[in-house]
Amino acid sequence: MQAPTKVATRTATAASGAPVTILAFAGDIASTSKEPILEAYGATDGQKLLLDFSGTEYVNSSGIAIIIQLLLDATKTGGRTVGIFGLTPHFQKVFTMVGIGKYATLSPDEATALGLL
Amino acid sequence: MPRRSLLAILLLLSMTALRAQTPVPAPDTADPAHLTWTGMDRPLNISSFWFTNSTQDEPAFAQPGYDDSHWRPRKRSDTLRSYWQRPSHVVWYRAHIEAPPGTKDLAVSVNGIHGPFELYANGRRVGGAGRIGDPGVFGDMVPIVYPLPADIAPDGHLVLALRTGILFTKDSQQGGLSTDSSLLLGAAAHINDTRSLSIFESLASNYTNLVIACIAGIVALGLYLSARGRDYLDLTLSYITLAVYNMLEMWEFTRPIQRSGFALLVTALLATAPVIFNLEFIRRILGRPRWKLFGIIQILLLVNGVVIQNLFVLAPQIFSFLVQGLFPTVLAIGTYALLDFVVPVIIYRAWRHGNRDAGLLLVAVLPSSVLVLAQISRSILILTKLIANSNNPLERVPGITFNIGWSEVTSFFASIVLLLFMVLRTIRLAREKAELSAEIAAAHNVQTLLLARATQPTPGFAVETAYRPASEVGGDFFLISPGQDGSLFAIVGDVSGKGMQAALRVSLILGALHRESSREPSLVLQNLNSALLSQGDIGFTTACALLVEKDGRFRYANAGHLNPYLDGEELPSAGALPLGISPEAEYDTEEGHLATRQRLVLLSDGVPEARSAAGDLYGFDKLVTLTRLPANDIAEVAHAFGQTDDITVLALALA
Repeated sequence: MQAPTKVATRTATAASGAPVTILAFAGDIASTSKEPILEAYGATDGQKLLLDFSGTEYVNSSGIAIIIQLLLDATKTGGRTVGIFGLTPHFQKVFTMVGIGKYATLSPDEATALGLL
Repeated sequence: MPRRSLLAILLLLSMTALRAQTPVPAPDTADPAHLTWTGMDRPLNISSFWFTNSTQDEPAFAQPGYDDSHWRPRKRSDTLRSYWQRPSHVVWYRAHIEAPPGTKDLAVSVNGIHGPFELYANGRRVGGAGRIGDPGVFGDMVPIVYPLPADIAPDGHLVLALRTGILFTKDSQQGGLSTDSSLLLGAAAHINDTRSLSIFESLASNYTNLVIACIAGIVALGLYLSARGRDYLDLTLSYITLAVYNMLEMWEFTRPIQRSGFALLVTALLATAPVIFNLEFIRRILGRPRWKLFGIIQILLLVNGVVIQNLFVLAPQIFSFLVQGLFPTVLAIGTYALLDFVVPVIIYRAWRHGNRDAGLLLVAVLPSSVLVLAQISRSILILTKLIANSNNPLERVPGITFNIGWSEVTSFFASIVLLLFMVLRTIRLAREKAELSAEIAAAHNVQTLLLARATQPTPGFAVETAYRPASEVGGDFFLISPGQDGSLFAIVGDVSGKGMQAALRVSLILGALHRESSREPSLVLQNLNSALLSQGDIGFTTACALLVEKDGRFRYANAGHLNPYLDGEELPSAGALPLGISPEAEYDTEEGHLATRQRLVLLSDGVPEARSAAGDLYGFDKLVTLTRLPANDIAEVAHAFGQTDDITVLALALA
C-alpha cells in the first residue's frame, strides 16, 4: 500500500529575488524515505529551501520525524529559511500540531510559499 | 553446464589459435586408401583415413567402384578450412577397408559429427541423421551404431562413404569430420559394448548433477512454500531449469538431433537461466539493488548466452569476423569476467561487513569462478601466443575413467554447498525468530503489566479506556493517576516506530511517568522530554498531558499530539515539538473547564490516521462526532475503517 518516496530537486526564485531550491516529494513518506530525502537535502545549497508535498498523500510518524530532523538541521544548524507547501488539509493540521510551523512557513501552494520567502 | 556458451567460445578461441599455427598439411606418407583389418577381436578406428572432395556432390561417390584416387587425403587433426577457404556445403569422405572374407555382423559407430550426414557401405545407405541442407546443430555426443547388412562384403572389400552437410562460420565448422569425430568399424557386439560404456562414462556426471539439482530444487521449493520468501523461489527456479537442461542434454547425448533455430534458442535460454536465477538469489541474500551491477550482468548473460553466441545459426549468412568472431568472443569474456570476478568480490565484501550468509555463498561460487577465470586467462595466453595450445588441463578431470569436466565438478560442489547453505540458514533464521518471539512475548508481558498499572480507581471521575495495538507490542501509551486532592492526571502518547524498539520506549516512558513527582502537565512533558533525550537518538514521542481538578477545572499541555476533545469540540493548543527531539522545546499550558455531563476525550493518531483499503484517511473532520461516542466505540470505528497504527482512546467525565 505504501508508495515509494521519490525526491526531485528544482530551483525557483523567491519574491525577494533570491534563488530558492525546491525539494519535491512524491509517494508516501515513512521510515524508508529517510535515505532519499536526506540525500536530496544534503545535495542542496543556498539559504532558501522549499519542501513541496503536492505529490504526497501520506506521511506517517516516522516520516514526520524525518521532516523535523531536516527542518532542525536547516534552520538551527544551517541558518536557512524553509517553507512548506502542497500539504493536504489533514497533514497541514498534523504539521501544525507537531510544531513544524515554528521552523517553516506552511503555504497552500508554490506561489504563496515563494512570496513568503 | 550452464556455462556451455563460454566453453564453446573458449573452444573457438583455441581452434582459431590452432588454425593460425597449422600450415596446409602435406599428404600422409602412409597410403590411407586401403586399410587392412586383420581381426574381429577389437574395433578398427577409421577416423583418420578418409578422403574428401568438397567440389562436387555426386551419388556415384557412394559406389564402391568409384575412382577416388584423385581425392585428397585427410589427417584427423585437420579442419576443412585447412584445404579450402570456402568449401562446399556438402562434403564426401571415403575409406577402403580390407576385412577377412566372409566377415558378418559388422557395425559402424559414428560419433561427433555435429551436422547431418548419410553413411553408405559398398553403395548401400546404412544410416544417417538429419537432412542435409537444413540449418541446425547436432547434439550427438555418444556413438550412434549403424549395423551393416550381413552380405555387405562377401569378399572382404568394404568401401564406406560419408556424405555430410556443413554449416560454416567464419572461424569454425558445424558438421563434417572434425577433431572430435570418432568412427569405428567392428563386430556389432563389440561396437554396442563400446557405445554402452561410452554413454555411461559420458553421462555419469550428468546423472549425479541431475540428482543433486533435483534434491536441491525440492529443498528450495519446500523452503519457498513454507517461508514464502522470494529468495528461495529464485533458487527453486534455478534448479528446475538446471534439471530440465540436464535432462535435455542427456536425451540429446544418446541420439542425433537436428535442432531448429528456435529449439537452439530455447536450449540456450535453459542453459543461461540457472545462472541468472542464481545471481538473483545472491543479489537478494546480499540485499543489493536490482537495477545496478547485478541487473547489468543478468542482461549481459541473457543477451550473450541466448543471442550473441548463437549468431552463427541465427544469421549464418553473415560471415563477418567482427559479428561472428570478435564480438561474441569479447562479449563472452567480458560478461564472464564480470560474473566470476566482480560477484565473488561483492560476496566477499558483504561477508567482511558481517553478512552471515555471504560466507557459504562465497565457498559455493569460488571454485567455479576460479575455474572460469583460469580458462579465460589460458585462452587469452594462447591467443597472444604466450603459451602453446597443448592439452587443456582445465577441461577434464585427469586420472579417472569417467568423462568428467572440471566445470561439472565445481557445479556439483556448488550444489552441495548451497544445500548446506539452505539447511544452516533455515536453522539460524528459525532460532532468531524464536528468540525474537520470546523477546516480543516478554515485552508484551511488561507492557501489559505497565498499562494495567496505568488504570487505577478514579474516585470522582468516570473513566473509559480503549487500547488496540496494531501489533503484539504497541507504540501507544497512556496513564491515569488520581491525586490525593481529588484531581485526576491523565496522559496519552505515541512513540514513533513500531515493534520491539517502540515497545521498549513505551516501557521507558511509563517507568519515567510512574516515578514523576509533578502533576503539572507542562512540567511532566518537560521532564519526560529530558528523560528521553538522555537516552540518545531514539526517535520521538508525542503526548498530551491533562490534569483535571475535582471541580472540573483542567489544564493540559501538548507535545505534538492530538488535542483533547471536549464534547466533540477540539480544544486549542499551540503546536509544539514532540518529545525527545530538542532540549529547548517548550510546552505551553492551556486551560479549560469540564462541566457535569461533559466528556473530555484524549486519543492517539491511530484514530484520524486509520486508512481504508482505497488509501483514504479517516481524518480529523469526523472526530467532531466520533469523539462523542464511548471510548470502545471510537476505537472500533477506527479499527473497522482500516487500522494502521495503535489506537488509544481515553474518555473522562465528572462522576
